[in-house]
Order: sequence, then C-alpha cells, then structure tokens
Amino acid sequence: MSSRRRACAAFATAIALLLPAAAHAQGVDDFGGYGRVRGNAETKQDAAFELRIGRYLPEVDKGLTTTPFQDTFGTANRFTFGAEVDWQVLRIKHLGTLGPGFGWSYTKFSERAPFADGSGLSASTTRLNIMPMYVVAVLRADFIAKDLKVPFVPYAKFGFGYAMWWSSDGQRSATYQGEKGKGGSYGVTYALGGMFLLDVLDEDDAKSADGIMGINNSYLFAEWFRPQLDGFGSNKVLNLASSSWVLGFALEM
Amino acid sequence: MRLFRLFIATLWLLTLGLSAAPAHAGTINVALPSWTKRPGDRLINLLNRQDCLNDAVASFSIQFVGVPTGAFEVWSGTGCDQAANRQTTTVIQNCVRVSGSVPLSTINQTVTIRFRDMVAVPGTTPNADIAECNSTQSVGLLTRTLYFVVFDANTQATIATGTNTAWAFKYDISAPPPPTGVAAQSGDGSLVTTFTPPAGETNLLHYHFYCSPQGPPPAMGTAGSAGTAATATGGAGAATGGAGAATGGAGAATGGAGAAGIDTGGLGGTAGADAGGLGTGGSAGTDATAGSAGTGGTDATAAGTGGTAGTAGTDATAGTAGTAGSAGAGSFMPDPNCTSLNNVLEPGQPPPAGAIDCGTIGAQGATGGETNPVLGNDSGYAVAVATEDTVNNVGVLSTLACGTPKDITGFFEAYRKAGGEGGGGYCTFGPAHTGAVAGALGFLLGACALLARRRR
Repeated sequence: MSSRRRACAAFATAIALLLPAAAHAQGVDDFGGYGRVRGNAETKQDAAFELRIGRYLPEVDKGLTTTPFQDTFGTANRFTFGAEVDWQVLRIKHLGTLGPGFGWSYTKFSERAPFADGSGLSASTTRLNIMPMYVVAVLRADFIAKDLKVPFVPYAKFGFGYAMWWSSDGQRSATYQGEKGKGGSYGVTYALGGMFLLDVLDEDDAKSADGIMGINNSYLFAEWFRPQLDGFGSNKVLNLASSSWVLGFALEM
Repeated sequence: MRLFRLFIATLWLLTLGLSAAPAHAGTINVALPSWTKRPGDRLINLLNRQDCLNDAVASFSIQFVGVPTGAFEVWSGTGCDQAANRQTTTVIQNCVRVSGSVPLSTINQTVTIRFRDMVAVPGTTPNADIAECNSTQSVGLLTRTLYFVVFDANTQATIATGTNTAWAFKYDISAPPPPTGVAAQSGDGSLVTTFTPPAGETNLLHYHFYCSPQGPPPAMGTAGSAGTAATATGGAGAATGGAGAATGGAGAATGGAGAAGIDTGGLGGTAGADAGGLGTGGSAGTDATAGSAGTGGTDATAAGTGGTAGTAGTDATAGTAGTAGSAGAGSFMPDPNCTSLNNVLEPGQPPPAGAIDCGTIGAQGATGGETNPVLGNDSGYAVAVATEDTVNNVGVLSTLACGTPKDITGFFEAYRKAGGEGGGGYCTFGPAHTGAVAGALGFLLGACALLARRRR
C-alpha cells in the first residue's frame, strides 16, 4: 500500500468514526440547543403564562333608562389585551393541573363628545378606561395530551374579578354633580377554553426549549370569557360585565 | 576614555532632546465654566437666545504649568486648535477669536468670555453686541467648541496641552417659528386646535397655547333712522323718495339718501354696510310711483328690513319719507378674524403678559391639541400657538384662530342621567342583590369540597 493510499484510508476511517458521533451529538452552543434529546424526561412544571387579546363590550347600558354607552361609543367591537399568570400548585393524576391564577388586562373607549345642546359633536373627546383584573382557580385537563396523546387541553377558570375604571372629557377628569367619574366594578369571573399544544409541530424544538429554558409546553388557545363585573347585581356599580372570546398564546414552565 | 565618550554622548542626546521638547512643553488646565446672567437650570453647555440677549458671561479658571513663553487665546468654532484654521486668510472661516492674549506669567487666571462672542459669525471680529444674537445661523441646535490655545507666536504651533482645552457647547439663538394654519374648534371649556408644524425645525420640544377673550357678543343692531322727506321742487314735480335707512346688527349702517327724481319717485335708501354685508338699494320709482324702500343692511345673522318707500311725488308735492328699516337681529357669532378689541394676542409677536396660559403639549409628532379647560363656555376666545425648542427658546405667536367653548355631555354624565349610580371613587361598593354573594361563596365552597373528596 502506497503512502498516498494509506493516508486516504486513515482519513476515511477518521470520517467514519466521527460521523456517528456527530449525528448523535446533542447539547447547547451559542446559537441555542441542537441535536436530539433522548428520553421523555421533562423539567418540573410549576406555572403557566398567557398573553391574551379579546373582544370586550361591557354591558353598561343594562338596566338603564337610555343607552349612554352605545350612544357615546357606538356598537363596534372593542378589544382588550392582557396577561395571566397561573401557579400550577397541584397536579391531579390523570386529570391535569389546578392552581390559582392572576390576570390583568386593559382597554379604552374613546369618541368625540356631543354638545350638551344637541348641536352635534364637539372636538373634545370623552373616554372610558377600564382595567379588569381577576383571581381565579384554573383547572387545565392536560391528561388528554399526556395520556391520550391528543394535542388538546381543555380548561376552566372560576374566581373573582375587579375592574378599575375612569372616565375623562377633553382635558379633565369626568365629574357629574360632584361625583367623580371613576370607580371599581366587581363580580365573579369564569371562563372555558381549549388549548392546542404546539409541541407536536416540532417535538425536537419543544424538547430543546424545555432543556434550555424550562418551557414545558407552548399553546395557542381560544376561550369564552365571562367577567361578570356587575357588583353582584348592584345598581351602585358600573356594569362592566362582558361575554366574549379571547385568543392567546400560553407557555407552561 | 570610554567613560568620557559615554559622557559626551549623553550630553549630546540631552541637548537633542531639549531642543525638540518645545512642541508640547507646558500644561494648561481649564476648569468647567461658571455662568452669570444665565437663569434656568439647563446644562452648562446648553445655551439659548435669552442667554444671548441677557449677555451671559462664562468664567473659566485656567492654570498654566510650565508655559513660560508663547501666546494664549481662546477661539470658538470648529478645528480651531489647528493653526491653519485660525488664520484670517483661510478660505472657509470656521473660527472666531473670543479673547485677547493673556499673560502666561500668572499661573492661575480666570478668563471671562461673553456668550455673544462665542456665537459670533466665524471670520468676524466679535464685539459682544446684541446684534450677534440676530446673526444668521443655521436652523436647529448647533454645536461649537471653545479652544484654549497656547501657541508659538512665530510658528503658530500649539505648545501646551492639558485638560478641557476644548470645551464643546450646544446653542440655538433662533427662536423657532410658530406653526401655520392654526384652526380651532369648540371643546368643553377649551378649544381644540389643529395646525401644521413649522418646516425644517428639528429640535422642537413643546407647543404653547395662549388664549384671549374676544369680548362680549355684539349688541343687537339698532333701528335705522327714518328717511328724510323729500321736498317738493315744484315745476316738473320732482320728488325725492324717503331714504330707507337701516342699521344692521353690530356694524353701523347709514341709509343712503334717495336721489331726487324728476317726475320719478326717489331712489330707495341704500343700506350701509355693517358687519354682515352690504344692503341693496331700492330701485327707482317710475313717474308717479314712489321709489321702493332700501333694503336694510344685513348683520351677522339677519337682515334689517329696509324703510318703506316714500309715496309718489306729485307735481309740487314731495314724497313722504320712507320709514326706517328695522334693526338686524344681532345675535352672536364668533369673529373669524379675531379682531375683537379685547383680544391681546398679536400674530408674529411674543406672547403678551395679559394672555391666558392655555396649556402646553409635546411637539413630537403633534399636529394639534386641546387647550387646558380654563375657558368659559359660550364665550368667544382667540387662541394662538407658540413653539418652544429643546433649549427653551419660545417663538412668536402664530396666526389666531377663534372659537367658542361649549358644554358637552361626556360618557359619565350621560350614564348618570340615564340612572346609573356607579362612580365616586375606586373604593365605592354597593349592596349586592340578595343571595348573589352567598351563591358565589357557595359555589366556591362546593368546588373546594369536591376537590377535597377527590383527593381522598
């Protein structure tokens, strides 16, 4: 065997030895995780985080003699954006997780105010700002995804909600006969929804995200949301109850 | 012998070294300046037009260390530490000398420099005159540097270095122009403006609104005086119809005299112009027919009625005078030209002391804004806008816009009028419907009980 042939053989052997190692290499470099994660071990899952956007039309006019909200702001859809954090304190075997959650969102209604003499719309703006918050118990039935391998997680929420609201006209805070145009509305809050498990779209990426950042699962979700912020039916509270859909993105960590 | 040669070589090297040393032999240390006649809390290197008008003066404490010879001067401009840029023969002048020579024998000195000199036009000889504040400058915030230079008087080469020998400052001695196309609409106790920002200004900070009352609404128009009866001139039976004078609303109007007709009725009186418009004259009457009445002048809202026609003049008989036109209605309308005597705002002039401070908005991206709600509803006001730049120069007033603030019905007022009782503060709570709270608590307790049972 000539020296050239020996060199070629040695090179080929080295490549052959290196290839399997490269194919099974797994780890983290400057660009993130790479390679295949072996086994199904997941990091500990304690919390869920949601980014939420949804329709919000409060039932302010309910029980009033006229329709001031509709007359002022119209009937077009308005939206809230917000976030929710859940502490998944309890895992119920073959059912899912249960724990408290806290949510916050914000929306604003704004239109040109009418002149008091009925002569049309002024150039001044009248506004209603609403900041709903809630504390709920959240049950996420992830046994469907974990046990039945169907990438769907139904969930339910129930708890107490409170919304701060404040109104302004032009450059000043709203008042009427000495009463300030701001207050709080409260009541029960509940929701039903379903989440689509995104992990099934790329399991390797999902496992890398778990290994590197501790993200167990990621979801897109749709939810029917009912913040019944009517002061338990009180006349003394601005009725900010709403019944609408919410869409969002969720992570479990 | 070897030692002697080493000694000579050392001496020679020392001599060579000393002869080369004067390039940067000494040290000059300049402290940051303290200002006089410069109010405000801006940074010490941020200067505006008012500083120039006030003739602000900067004092620099300077320490010379080991600078026995040479000349010391302070220059303002760009690249003035380079000898070539300090020459008056330089084609493009970037520098101006702002201090005379200072003796270097005193180690610690204070040099005072007037801001007016610092911003003098490069290539000129500054004289600290107020005219320097009006010198042509580029638009926006400009940057210059003060150079503290010790140089060889013969070669112009810099012969001392140190700390803070180049002190940069930013300035704008041109107040920004006002926005254009200012218009105003009614707000609640306010006026809502729209305008076009001034072109080319890159360092705008605020728009300031200034308001002024337009004064009370114009009074009702007074009735026109009766026309004067024509006198007969006999003969051909000339007659002059009555002058149908009318006075319109706010503006004074005088009916024109009817022209004498020959065998004709007189012309109706022509109403005088008033604030609203010009009345039209009556047409000439025909023979034996009276001239028609003049039409009253129109005022802002309603036309005054002209005087009635004089009766036909007969031969040798004068027509009777037309009766006076009735007064115009004279109801209030905003003066679109904002020419009320009560208005203290004058376009192109600085904001006057008597103007109402109507608030400020940020200039970033603004094309209008609402004044503060400090105006009375149902009264006319003029509003003007002045611009402030980032060094707190406030420019002159824009053209005026007029409007009348009016009461609005905001959401909260409409809600309360519809029977709503919410509001009053964040901590107000109302009584719940009977059983609502109990139901909610029961539901929660039930859910907890179910959960507890499942765990067992």
